Amino acid sequence: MRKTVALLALLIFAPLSLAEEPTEDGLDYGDYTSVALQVKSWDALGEGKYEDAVKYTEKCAELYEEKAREMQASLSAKPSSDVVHDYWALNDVGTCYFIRGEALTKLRKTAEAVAAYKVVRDELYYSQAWDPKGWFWAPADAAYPKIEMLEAKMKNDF
Amino acid sequence: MRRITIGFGIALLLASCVANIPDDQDPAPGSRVQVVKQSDGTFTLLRNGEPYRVKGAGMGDGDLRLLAESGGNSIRTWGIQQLEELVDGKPLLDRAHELGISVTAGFWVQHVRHGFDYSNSTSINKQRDRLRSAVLKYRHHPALLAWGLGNEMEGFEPGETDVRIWQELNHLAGIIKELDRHHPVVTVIAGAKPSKIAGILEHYPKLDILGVNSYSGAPVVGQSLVRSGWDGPYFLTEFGVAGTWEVAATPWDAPIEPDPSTKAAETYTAYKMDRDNNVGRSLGSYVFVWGHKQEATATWFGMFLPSGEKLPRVDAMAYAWSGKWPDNRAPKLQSLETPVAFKKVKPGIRSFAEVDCIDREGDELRYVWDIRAESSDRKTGGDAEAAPPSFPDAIEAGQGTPRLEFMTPNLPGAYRVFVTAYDGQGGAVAHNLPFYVEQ
Repeated sequence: MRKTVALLALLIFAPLSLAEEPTEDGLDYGDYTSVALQVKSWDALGEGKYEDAVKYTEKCAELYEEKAREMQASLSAKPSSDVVHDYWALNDVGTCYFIRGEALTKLRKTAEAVAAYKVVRDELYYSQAWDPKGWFWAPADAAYPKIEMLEAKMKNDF
Repeated sequence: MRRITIGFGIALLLASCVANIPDDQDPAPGSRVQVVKQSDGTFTLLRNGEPYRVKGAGMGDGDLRLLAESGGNSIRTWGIQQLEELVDGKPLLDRAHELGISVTAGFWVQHVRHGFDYSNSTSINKQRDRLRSAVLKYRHHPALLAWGLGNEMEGFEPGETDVRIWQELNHLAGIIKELDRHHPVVTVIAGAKPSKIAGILEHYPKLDILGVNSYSGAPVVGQSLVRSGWDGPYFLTEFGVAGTWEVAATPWDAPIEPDPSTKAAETYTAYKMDRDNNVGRSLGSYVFVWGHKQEATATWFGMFLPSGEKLPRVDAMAYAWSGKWPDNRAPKLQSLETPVAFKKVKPGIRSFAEVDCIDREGDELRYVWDIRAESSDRKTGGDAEAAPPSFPDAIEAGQGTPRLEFMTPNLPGAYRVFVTAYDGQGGAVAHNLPFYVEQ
């Protein structure tokens, strides 16, 4: 019983304490929700902070990839727009892998970027990302040509 | 008023006379082009009886001879007046023919967003008359490949397309077919959204080849079209680099331009994936754009500088079309860095930018730096944009060299530092990084 209470307390307060404690890498992970980490990844990418973008995506994967894979495994088709938010972990982790590919490309870590894009294309392929312009898009579809492009770049001198 | 009425009457009479010239009595069309459906459901474009795959570019002010030398075989235009523009001293259509280049002749179908009213019969009739005149004037030209009837006239917002636009396109295609049965009709839409395809399938049966403009989605446009319900033949009518609306942006909403090598690789990949993955449906493609264009930046979509030098994407297309790199390549930019990149900084602080470029043939490179304001004249749909102002006074030292020293401008706002490296042999490479000056 005592153990259960302690565990419950840990579960309740852990996110709070994580959010309050300064991180070793100096990054602000917000409330550590998958969506916060995904948004921070995009923002870091836009600010040219590519190393930071990679770290946010890594944190998102560390905390939510298991859940994301579970959601992916439960699906046989891309979720329709009325239920898409039920697959929050899949959407955020899949998008984070796409962002990681983008950031690693900017860092000229081509092989690692290809590996990140391949996770979305081959494993988390039902993930969807929201475009503020008003629609969902599929990171897997966007990752596919990126992989082809980077592989072409590795093979040819552009 | 009476004179105008009589004049209008004569014009109508003339128009009706020329419109009634039956095309089957036309003894010598300049070229015969048709789309043939094979027994397996795939499509082949035949030009004068031979299979023809379009390896093309949207024609801007770039070097047309270089397109032919690079292995390209076709261009597309947007407006009919473009066919008369002088290239190497000759009308574009004639010069293209001399170079063995075919032309998808664009006829500009008016846009609602530019104020055209599809319920105004006078405007509609005027547009129909303009089309008749254009078809009669150019239908026999041997360079003519197809009629490009309209470009992105359907609008961009969901639910924006008025069915009357599709219906009018069908009517216009009928006018073309009545006067010229030897050249297919292509209509170009933006992207492959299901609602657009549904509208076309329902209201536009006279369409021969669908044209699709697509940027990030270009490599998979064939698959997107199938998902949207189009299994007919198509041209990829604009493709190249990711659009300004499809990339990450700075916190002040300045889209981050991909580096030149990435742009070249993206362009090459889009071409190759479309060609290889859609055999029998993709009849070819037109890269965007064989010329210079200000759109968000001076270098985003254009494959040439305003001064005529080719950029690396021209070489990438030469490699894609012919399988060979040109003898003289545009220089390669390996890196561009400045401490102010992507940052908000104070006005009047001293900074620097450094570029690392190589020239594969060992040509000596000349560097030109420019500090420019972020574009404040952003438009949609590729409409013409004004170039933002330059701030030459911000440059302190290093113009002409790979390292620039500059002061951030005193006027708060968004800027970019641009560099262009010229090889002196007709090639160049250009890139930029954004920064923001705070109060």
